[in-house]
Amino acid sequence: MARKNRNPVGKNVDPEAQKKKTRTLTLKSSDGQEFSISESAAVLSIAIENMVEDDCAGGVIPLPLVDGGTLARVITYLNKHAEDGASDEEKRKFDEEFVSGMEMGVLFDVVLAANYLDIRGLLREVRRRIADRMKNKSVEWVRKTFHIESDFTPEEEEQMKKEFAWAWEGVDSDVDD
Amino acid sequence: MSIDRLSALPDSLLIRILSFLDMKESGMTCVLSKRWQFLWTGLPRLKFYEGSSQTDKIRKMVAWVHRTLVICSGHNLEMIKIDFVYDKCFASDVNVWVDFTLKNKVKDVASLLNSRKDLYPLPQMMYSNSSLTRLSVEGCIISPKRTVEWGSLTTLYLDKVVLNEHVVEKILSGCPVLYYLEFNACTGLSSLKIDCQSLHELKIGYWKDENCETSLEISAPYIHTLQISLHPRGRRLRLTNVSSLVRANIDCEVDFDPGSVKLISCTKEPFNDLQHVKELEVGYGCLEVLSMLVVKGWRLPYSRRRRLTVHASNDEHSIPGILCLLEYSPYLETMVILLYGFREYYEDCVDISPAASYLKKVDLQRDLLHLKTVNITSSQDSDLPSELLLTLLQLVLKRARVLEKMVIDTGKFATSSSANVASNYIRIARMLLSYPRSSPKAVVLFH
Repeated sequence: MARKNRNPVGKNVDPEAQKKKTRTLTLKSSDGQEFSISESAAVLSIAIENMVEDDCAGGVIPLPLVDGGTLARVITYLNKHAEDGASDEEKRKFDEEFVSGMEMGVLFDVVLAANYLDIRGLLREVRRRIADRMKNKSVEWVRKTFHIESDFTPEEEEQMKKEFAWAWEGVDSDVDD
Repeated sequence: MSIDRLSALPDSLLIRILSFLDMKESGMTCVLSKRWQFLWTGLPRLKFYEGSSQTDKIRKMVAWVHRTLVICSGHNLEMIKIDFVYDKCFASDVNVWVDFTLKNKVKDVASLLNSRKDLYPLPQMMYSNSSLTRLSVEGCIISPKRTVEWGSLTTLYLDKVVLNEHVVEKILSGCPVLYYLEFNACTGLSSLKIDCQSLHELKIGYWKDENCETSLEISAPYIHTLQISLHPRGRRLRLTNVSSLVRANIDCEVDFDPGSVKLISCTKEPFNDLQHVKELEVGYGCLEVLSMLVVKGWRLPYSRRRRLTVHASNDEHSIPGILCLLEYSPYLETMVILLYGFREYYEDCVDISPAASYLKKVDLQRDLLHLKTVNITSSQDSDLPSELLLTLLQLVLKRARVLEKMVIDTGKFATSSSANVASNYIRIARMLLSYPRSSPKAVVLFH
């Protein structure tokens, strides 16, 4: 039987944390758009936290590898996770909805941004979402969905399938869900 | 022309993506393209599972494991888990895999050999393994000829293992940092003595009976947390010395033999033995057996517990048990009720007819002088508090003199779009808010 484990919401009253909440940073995307974000939300990204600590955060933090559209999405995620009083359950639901609505292209933009900015929670969610698109699918289906071009000859492929026979047991569902 | 953005991701990201798939699925990716051919072999955790007992299927899996291990040799492997229906014709294969884990210093090894007839003898070499931090063993013969040297082992899980006092002593004296120990479906032993001070948590599942009527006596004076699961065909458990215990969890497996007289009688013992424990969690099956006992007139011993968590149904199978636990926990400060809706199975097997009348006349004998927090959590629409549970909550509000809050957390229910559910919710909320409260500062909250 499933047991529920709910951690109480951590209430941070340390003065340094309070300061972070009121201080804002400006993030600048590759296409020159600027976004304001509270420091407490921004530092959920380990990369930004390091930049802030190294004091390169005097003015604007440039993020040359993240475009404006993606950065806006990432900021939505960070703000939710830095929100006071958001329970773990609420955040979990938010995460689920946040990634489930994403188109494939967006998913890749976000996974690269999360990887670059080192946002562990977001990275895990997006990776899981990509893996879900591969779950219980045939090789052909995965190739088609992700536009993967095979550079094996048909003979090579046949040979590999024979050698790895166990992996092909009982796989047949190709329904996109 | 669409571009292949997946293959363009760095290896480290792709391996993490593959780790969400099962071994078969991640193995299949080897034929996608040359970019993918060996990616999956970088997985740090290899988990092989074959549920079928058909020999040809198992042979395919065995061949696959051999191939994989050859390819993966030299990688930094964290974990190898092999789970299949074992037959002694595969003994030499498993030997090769065990050697592999030793040679590659794999920290987390699970050898789950679920078999109906053959047991696998764990090779003697395995008993001296300083890399191991977690070991899970099922259906194996554990018989060390010399000492056991598992200097880094923190977690040990033994399933379907025949034990004797001598073997247990060797294991425990060879594991200086063992923190978690679990037994499930093991046999043998008349007493289990655990003197190792590092052991924090002990879990005992079904302990096979073998027509043995004597109890298994457990002495573990240093453990902090204990989980036991009683079973109608299992040994009775007596906890003779668990003096450092802070947290205990008792459950009963009642799925297939609910009326078992034996289960009912052996459920009493742990409640007697665990009176001193501060935090008690009672599983769904156990609460049901306890409710039967209570209806038949059995009373719990008074306990010093401060915190009580129950996994409960909404009906007469749980409520008498909760009431009795409340009555005999005079120091209780926090009560958590996790609701699982109405039961659906074996409705006719158990005679619960006295429960309804029992509940009509029932009351708490005295006030609840320390109870500050009551939490009722459910996750499904159908798990709204029933009339019976409302009666219980009414009683709690009346008797808890220093109650601070009663929280009804209905999870997704509160956002349910069904008008019927919503109106029911409002009705229940109104009723709860209308009950008199003896504590002036008590609040009732709905989440």
